[in-house]
Amino acid sequence: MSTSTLKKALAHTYMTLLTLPIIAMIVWYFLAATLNFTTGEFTLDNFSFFTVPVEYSGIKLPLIWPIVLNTIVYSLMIVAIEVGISVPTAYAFSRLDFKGKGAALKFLFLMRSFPGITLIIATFFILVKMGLVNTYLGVMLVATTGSLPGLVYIMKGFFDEVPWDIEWAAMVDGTSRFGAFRKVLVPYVLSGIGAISVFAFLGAYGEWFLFKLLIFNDDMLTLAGYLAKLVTKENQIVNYGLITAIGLFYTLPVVVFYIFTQKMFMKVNIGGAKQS
Amino acid sequence: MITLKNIVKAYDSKKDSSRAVDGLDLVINKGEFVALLGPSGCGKTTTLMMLAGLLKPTSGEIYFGDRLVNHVEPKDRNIGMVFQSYALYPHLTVRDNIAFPLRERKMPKAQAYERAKEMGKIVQIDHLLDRKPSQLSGGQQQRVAMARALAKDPEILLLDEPMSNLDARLKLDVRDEIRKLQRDLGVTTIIVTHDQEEALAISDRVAILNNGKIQQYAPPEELFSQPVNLFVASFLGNPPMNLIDGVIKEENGEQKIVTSGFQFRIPEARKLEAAHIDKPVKLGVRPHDFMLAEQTDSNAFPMKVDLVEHLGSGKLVKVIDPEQKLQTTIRFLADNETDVRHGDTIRMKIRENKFHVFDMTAEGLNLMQFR
Repeated sequence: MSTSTLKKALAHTYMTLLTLPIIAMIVWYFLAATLNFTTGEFTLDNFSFFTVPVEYSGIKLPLIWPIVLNTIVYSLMIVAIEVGISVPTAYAFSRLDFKGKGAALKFLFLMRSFPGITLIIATFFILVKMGLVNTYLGVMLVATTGSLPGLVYIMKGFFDEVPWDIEWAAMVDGTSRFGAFRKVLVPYVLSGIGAISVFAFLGAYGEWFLFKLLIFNDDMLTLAGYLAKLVTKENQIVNYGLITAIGLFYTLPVVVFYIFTQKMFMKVNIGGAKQS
Repeated sequence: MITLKNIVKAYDSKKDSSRAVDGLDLVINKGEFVALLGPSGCGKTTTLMMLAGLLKPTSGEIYFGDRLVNHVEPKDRNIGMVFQSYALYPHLTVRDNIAFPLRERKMPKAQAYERAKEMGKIVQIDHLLDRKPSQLSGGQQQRVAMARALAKDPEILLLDEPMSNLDARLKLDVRDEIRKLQRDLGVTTIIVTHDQEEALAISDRVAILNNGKIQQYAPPEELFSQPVNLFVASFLGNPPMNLIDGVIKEENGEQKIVTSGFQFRIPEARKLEAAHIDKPVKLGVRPHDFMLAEQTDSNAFPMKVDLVEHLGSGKLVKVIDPEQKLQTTIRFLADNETDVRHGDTIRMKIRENKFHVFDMTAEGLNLMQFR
């Protein structure tokens, strides 16, 4: 055996050993969802939540399909709102000179480093005063406020990378400033927009805390909040089979989404401008 | 015709030192090819950006013909521009890149593509129309940028260091092509460059800038033979002009320049005004304006050869006076037939009329009267 194959074999063993716990977790995940724990037989009983509302040990939850619809609508709206706001904002921070720009950027950074949970009581009272508790609007307001600073920061980085020449060329070629933004800069930073869309989507998809806090009707929940409801009842028997089965169902779209967006990330723009 | 009147561009209006362009006057005739040449930071790119409308002058006026364009947006100026980085749109094909300015003018797609094809033919990239810019070489990208700039039939073509990213040989070809294209289309063209060879080769007139001011604006040969000041004289030419400190003296009705290493008699026709006598000056002589002299020549002086460099087309000889009193060595260009070696003492003279005398003021004005 040559040294290079030996090295390779060592590396592979090392990596396999290190990933083993993760693999074990995933395997257990699948098994827990599809096995009857007492008999040890294969069963799809845990997936009955597809057809009937979940009900066990005193927990009563609505049928899952309206929840799925809620999740899709909520996540897509969050993506649209957050991308729609953060892209132009990041452009302004990257390209325009305006009063208070430095201070605003510092404030954004501060906002980012603040743990959202410390503000939650104040947030709750404000929403109560505004009559926005137990509404999607309230949840969305709080959710976007929390994630926008980070997204703007990421997006600003992408705009900073675009050479001025490209923007100037577009303006000389007959576009207005906004036209240059729309027709040249946005396509240029498309991979960045993809990235923040993914972040926004995953953030919205995984949002359970705000739903737990601000939404009181179970039929207004999203999948993450639905799952949270299953595990947080105290002094109850936890139904692992059911939770993992719904968990699998919950994970699937993310995996699919990840596969698609990953393809998009691979197609990152290769610049047409020579860097000098 | 483009007229720039007393243009000032300050990036920080409170400080005078922030003036990138400081009182610039320039007139460019229709169809002319003009180069803005100068060291980096001289304000040439800023001037070009103001012509494009991407920057607004702090004060002064810019006219295209009779139209004051100070506040006209770039898109309404009918200019084509080629950037140093080419600035092609990476997400569009070559065809769409060239058609972009036309589509912005609401030209129908079919017609715009037809025109893009035509332009592609002119700059010889019509076989690459379906590629993306990232799939092209630097030279091809440069051609696409040219085609895009010219597609809309601009009144004015602005070139910002268009050849600085090309290798030396390609540069020569592209230079000739740009010149030919410009002459065929008759488009008024302004090129910004720091490469003097490029500027002199390609343009009808060259404006030499330094510290935000135009030093001299003239055809290439005039810049070379009649530099107005020390900056122009020392900036142009490679190897650079020899500059030797000296004093003007008058004896028996003859003027001469006395340096610490040699004396040089000023010919009758080139006599300086009496006011300059006994004043310190700088004598400027280009390396190819020295020549070997006969033993009998009364205006020649002895020099010792310090170093001989072979340039291929000739020899660059560095000489110093025998007593080594000169502050600097003098460079002179000799042809390959000239047999000089290290340590030789030779007799040299300066070609009649091929010398310059600069005063010692900050501007270093050329005292020679060119008649």
